[in-house]
Amino acid sequence: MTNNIQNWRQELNELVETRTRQLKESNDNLKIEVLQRRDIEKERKHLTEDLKISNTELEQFAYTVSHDLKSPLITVKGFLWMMKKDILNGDSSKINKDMERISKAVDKMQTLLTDVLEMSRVGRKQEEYENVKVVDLAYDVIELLSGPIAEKCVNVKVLRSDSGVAYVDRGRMRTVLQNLIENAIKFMGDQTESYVEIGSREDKGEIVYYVRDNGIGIDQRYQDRVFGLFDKLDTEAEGTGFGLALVKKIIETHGGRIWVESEGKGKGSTFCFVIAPKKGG
Amino acid sequence: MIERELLGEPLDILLIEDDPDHAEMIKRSLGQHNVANRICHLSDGEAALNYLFKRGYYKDRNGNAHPHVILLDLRLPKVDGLTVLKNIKEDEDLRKIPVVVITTSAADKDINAAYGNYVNSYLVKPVDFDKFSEMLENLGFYWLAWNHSPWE
Repeated sequence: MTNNIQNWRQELNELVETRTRQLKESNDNLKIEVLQRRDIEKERKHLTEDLKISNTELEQFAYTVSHDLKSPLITVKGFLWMMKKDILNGDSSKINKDMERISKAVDKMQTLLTDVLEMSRVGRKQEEYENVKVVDLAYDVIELLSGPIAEKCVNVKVLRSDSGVAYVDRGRMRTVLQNLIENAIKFMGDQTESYVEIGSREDKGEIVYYVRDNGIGIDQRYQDRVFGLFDKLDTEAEGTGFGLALVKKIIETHGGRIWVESEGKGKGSTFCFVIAPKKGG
Repeated sequence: MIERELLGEPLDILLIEDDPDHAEMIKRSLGQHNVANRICHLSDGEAALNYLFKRGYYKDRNGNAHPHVILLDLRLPKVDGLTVLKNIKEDEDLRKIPVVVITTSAADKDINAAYGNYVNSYLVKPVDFDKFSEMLENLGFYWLAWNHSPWE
């Protein structure tokens, strides 16, 4: 009898233990599942956010493009009409100048179209990522820009460092540096000892790449507008106001960010950017 | 040009437009219809505000403090057109000047924002020049010949 009772107890204990283990297991599984669901939910939110941002960007893009492409059309139509009238009236005084306006407007349309096409390719074309010493790319760019650099007597310095390696598309990153260095040269002003410096520094655990110049600088009020598509601070300046918008897009497709530091007009500018670390280490 | 020509009063237009070709088209259209005898043309938003508020480069400028009408483009370098408009309409004196937006944009967003900032009229530049010219002719007659301003 005692033996029996002991056996039952033993069996019961084992049963309880098994059940407890099973319960614990299913509890652990539940916990994992909750965590997984939380991750998925987070991911979903993230994706929705990304989608919203890219939608807004696309809307902005379409708006800008339609506005900027319409402008030269209006010019072409307008001056053709006025020329026709002048010819009918036997007035040829303005014809040459007006033809030039039309021709320039057509050129502008062509440039805008090329720019728009290039912009739409960023992030879509299969980009080839590799580890690149970003600052070293400046040497290629300097060679490419040797003409304007010599013409404007700009002293271009590259400060190399061993830490500045990023996982990027080499060609795109070269475009970034080319635009930034070209801009620095273009907006040098009447500086007698003009210089451009390309380098990197460490800031709060991030590597910040920069292109610094002692040119005309940027009024602080307008600093957030310089990256806008076809936004130009100076109507007289060459170009369509496309370069910095393209640069921003490239940096963003690399998961980075770009900003400008300038104490104001006449005080030079420093364009800085960071690149997100390579995914998965 | 009916009434005002008899008065022999010069008509002042402040044109704020960054595209030099469009500015020329506007000037020629208005000139053709003898609507305006004085057009002051500025090509960015900052210059426009300095001119109107007599600041910076325009600190000691002569000329009419109150143009009969301001023609304002929206996409401008430095300070954009909406900000220019906002500044004008926030000023107790300048807000009385009629401001007409002339732009390529027919986007609801822009139209709403302009009226939200008390624009007096909103015009979209037509691609066809005969319409463009007709629009400016009508604009000239309306604001400069028929309309009475508080400074007459």
